[in-house]
Amino acid sequence: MIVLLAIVAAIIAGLYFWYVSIVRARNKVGEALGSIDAQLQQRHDLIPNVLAIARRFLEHEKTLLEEITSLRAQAAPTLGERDFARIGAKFDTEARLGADMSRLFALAENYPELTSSGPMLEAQRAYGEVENNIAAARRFYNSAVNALKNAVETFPGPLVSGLAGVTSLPPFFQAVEGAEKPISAADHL
Amino acid sequence: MTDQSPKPGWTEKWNAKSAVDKRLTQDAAKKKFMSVVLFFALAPFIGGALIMIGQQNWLWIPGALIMVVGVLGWMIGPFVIGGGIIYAVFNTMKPDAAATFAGPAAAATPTGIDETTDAELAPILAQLDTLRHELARQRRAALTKVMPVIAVIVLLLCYWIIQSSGFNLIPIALVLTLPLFFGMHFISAPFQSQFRERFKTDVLPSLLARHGDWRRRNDYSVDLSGSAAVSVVPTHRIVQVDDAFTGTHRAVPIDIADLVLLNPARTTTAMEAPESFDTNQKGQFELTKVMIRAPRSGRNDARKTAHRLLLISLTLDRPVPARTAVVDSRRDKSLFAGIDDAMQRVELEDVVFNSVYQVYSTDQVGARALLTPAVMRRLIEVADGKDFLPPTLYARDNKMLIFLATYNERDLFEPGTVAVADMGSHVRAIDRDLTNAFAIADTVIDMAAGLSTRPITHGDEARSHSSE
Repeated sequence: MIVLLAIVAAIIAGLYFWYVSIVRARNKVGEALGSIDAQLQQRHDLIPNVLAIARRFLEHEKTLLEEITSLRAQAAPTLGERDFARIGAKFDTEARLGADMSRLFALAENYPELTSSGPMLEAQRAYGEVENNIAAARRFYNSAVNALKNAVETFPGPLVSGLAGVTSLPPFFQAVEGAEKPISAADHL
Repeated sequence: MTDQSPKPGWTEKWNAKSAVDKRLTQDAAKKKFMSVVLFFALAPFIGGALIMIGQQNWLWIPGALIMVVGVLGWMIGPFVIGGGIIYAVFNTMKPDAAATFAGPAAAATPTGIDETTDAELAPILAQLDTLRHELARQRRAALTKVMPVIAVIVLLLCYWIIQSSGFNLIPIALVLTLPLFFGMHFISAPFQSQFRERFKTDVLPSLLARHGDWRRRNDYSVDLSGSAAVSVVPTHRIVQVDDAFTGTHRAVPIDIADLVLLNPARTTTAMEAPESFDTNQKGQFELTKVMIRAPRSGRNDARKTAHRLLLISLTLDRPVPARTAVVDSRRDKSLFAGIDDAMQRVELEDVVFNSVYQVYSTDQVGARALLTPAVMRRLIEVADGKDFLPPTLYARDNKMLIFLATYNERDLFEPGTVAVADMGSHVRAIDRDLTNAFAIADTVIDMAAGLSTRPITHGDEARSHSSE
């Protein structure tokens, strides 16, 4: 009888420690999302300045400028999103916003007056630094998601993940399609 | 087609090993050597015990063999050691192989240079060879005057011992060898010291000049208590600066110092004060407080009392995003203090990197901003260096400290002995060490170049930002 009780106690203890590890991993993902949001906020703060500087020279690129403004407005409310089911959509919006900003800077290269101006140089430098920090935050996020997935998908994770408040798993941040392919200079010359 | 290339010799095989492999090989060789010495020292006693035990059985046979081997070792050992010492003494008193040294004209083609030597090293080697040749000549003259006198005294002592107590092997071996050994050492010491000082003042700056603008510093001091608290360097109580240089490399102010970390005594008291690093107007590091920090209980069981490290200290033009320590994952934890409670372990994506290094930081994102995949790759390549063990890093405020140790903790800036004619290989080794050290500094400078000039914010701080 005592042996049986000891076994049951050990199982309960094991399940409890696994529950705690899932909770910790979930909170780590939350922390990582917060870090990403902080960098995304900085990016959102920079975008209006960049658009204001670029608008003088890129008036005929209205479509791109309006798309950037629209995406920023669409992405801003998603900062602070912690619902794992909606994070994928948030990342998609931010990825499109990042891609459009890259296009904007690439187009700006055609205007030496624009790219040599002090405010634009400062804006590009600041934007580059924020992108580096976003990349670092995303790596932290992926690491936290990996740890959470391991805890949830490894037995007895499926038994206690619901109790720990993890009903769906957050997606990894993935690079845009085609990013893994080598760049051919001929496509751009 | 069969491979006609000659098989690599022992030297080539040794040079091809990584620093970690060299250290493991050296440790294994030391253990084997000590085992052999211990065997010969204890063999007569073990043999005698086996003979006594084996009087009624077969154990006396191996006992007798072991005893014979041990006794032969005891008889021959002192003469082998003494013969080696005498050989070394007379070998150093021989004139150099290049006895035709004729002054500055001949210095253009100094000894020790072969066709593959970097042409830039030739004038450095010429300078060194001139210096060495003069000091070696003076040393030989001193030895030639004094050693015969010592030899006569030694022979008289041996005669007296034989006359008074008979032919006693061990005292005679000691009297024959020790005075000669110590006589040679104390006569050579001033010349070696002079050679070392002139090398570091005249020749070493020429080697360093290949990597930037440098000057030697005699007033350099550094506090490494912060680094010790995060296991970047072993625990220690005293930092001795052997050699220090200040200069710039790629426009970054850098201090390079050959340090010895001493842990002479265990203590139970501690004085702690907050760290502070002050920089003067030139951005150079200056010590502001002398720290004494008692190691945590149970972690001062250092088997070694001294550790030799090369410190490369970079002063950056921007702060690092987070206080971060990159440590050797295979370090002997008994020599280190453990990790500061404010630091958390950072698990990075690169599996190979994680097997070589462990990373601790006050901020997960900041550490990853510092250690990008490209930087991790470079650090792994450096970790496979032939003479340097994996470097450890400590990034804090606007300072980046890199610590390098060779597999045998040798003094990196030692010129070698004044008696050895071939300086070429030694200078090339120092030049190679410096090149490897600056390659590591380049990695860190590239790492710093990608850092943001703005602090990394987090969730709570971000929500207070205003947005349009």
